[in-house]
Amino acid sequence: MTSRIVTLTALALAMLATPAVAKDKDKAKAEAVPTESIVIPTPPSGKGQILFFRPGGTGFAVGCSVNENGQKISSLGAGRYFIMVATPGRHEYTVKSEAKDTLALNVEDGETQYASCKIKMGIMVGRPDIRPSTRDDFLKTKKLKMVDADDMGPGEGALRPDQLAAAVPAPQAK
Amino acid sequence: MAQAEAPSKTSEMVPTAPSASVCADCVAIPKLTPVRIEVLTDLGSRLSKTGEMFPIKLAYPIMIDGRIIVPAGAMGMGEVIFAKGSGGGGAGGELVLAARYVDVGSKRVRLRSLQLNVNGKSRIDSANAMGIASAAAPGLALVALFMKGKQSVVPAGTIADAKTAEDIAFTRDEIAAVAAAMPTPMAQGAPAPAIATVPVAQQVSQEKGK
Repeated sequence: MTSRIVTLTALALAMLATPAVAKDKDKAKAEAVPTESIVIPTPPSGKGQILFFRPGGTGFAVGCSVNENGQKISSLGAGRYFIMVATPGRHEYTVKSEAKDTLALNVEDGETQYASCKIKMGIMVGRPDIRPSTRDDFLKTKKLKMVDADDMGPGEGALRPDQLAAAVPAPQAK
Repeated sequence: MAQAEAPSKTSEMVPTAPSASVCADCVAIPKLTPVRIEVLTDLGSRLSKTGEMFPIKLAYPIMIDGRIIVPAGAMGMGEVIFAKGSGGGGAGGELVLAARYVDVGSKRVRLRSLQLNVNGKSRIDSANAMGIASAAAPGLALVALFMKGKQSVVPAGTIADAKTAEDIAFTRDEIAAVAAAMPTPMAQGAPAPAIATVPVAQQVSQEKGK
């Protein structure tokens, strides 16, 4: 009986949340750009960076917020990406919904690494799965949109859109 | 927005190696000099533990101006930064590795930028598709939930690229002493080829999750 109530409550909540999430998904899809046209800036001096991305697909209603040391760095909706600047060394990132998943990476000075989040099947709701990725996998994801500034958390490091624009050199006039 | 200004191709600026400071009677290996290392033990997403160290050795000598400065065979250590076995829902195993150093005589050459992060094949998409199909056949949901991705395995003997982490100088006496101490055929061998003799993708095997 209890499990039935829990299931019905979860379904009701999911139905309530779906229109807003679907709207965000449509927005991300409409404003997404081909990944090959995304310019990745050089990390600031003495820093490295990680590009977190989440291909579209199933589980778009499930969040994949990336956290470090218990602080949210950024949400990561379906079809979104963000760039995290970090000090060289080992960093541990977690994503959490019904279950928690962790990934540790070794950030290197002056280098860009990649990590992706996918939603896998869970008992009640999907579970985020964060894993190391590659530039090739990033490019295989046809289109992505950067996470909006207001979806980034208090944790430091995620480049806001204006910071990214400032970090990327303007194209040279012909 | 940066995206609007983006050129047609992805561009990622690669740091250039700064020139090493050279002392009076020594040869310097500059920071970010490419090196090729060999993993000396079996590693895997299920086999290895996060934080454990593993033995490596220099697979090819480090040469500066055509001269061997560090012979092949110099022993060192790497570190398992992260290891996670494959899991339910089709998640593949994950293995993140780092090269830390090789010892050369009394000196330690610190390493970085190991190109050897290995993911076991993910079956999340297959499990999710099965989950959707379970609307028609409910039994499939249970199969999908317990479906595992593949483990990642790096067998002993795997060759991978890394870089030196800092400028380091050797006196001519140190170079001579190290060369004399390591008279292996490989130590006197040719420099590392531009392309790995066996691509990492072929060296690294996938093991079905258990």
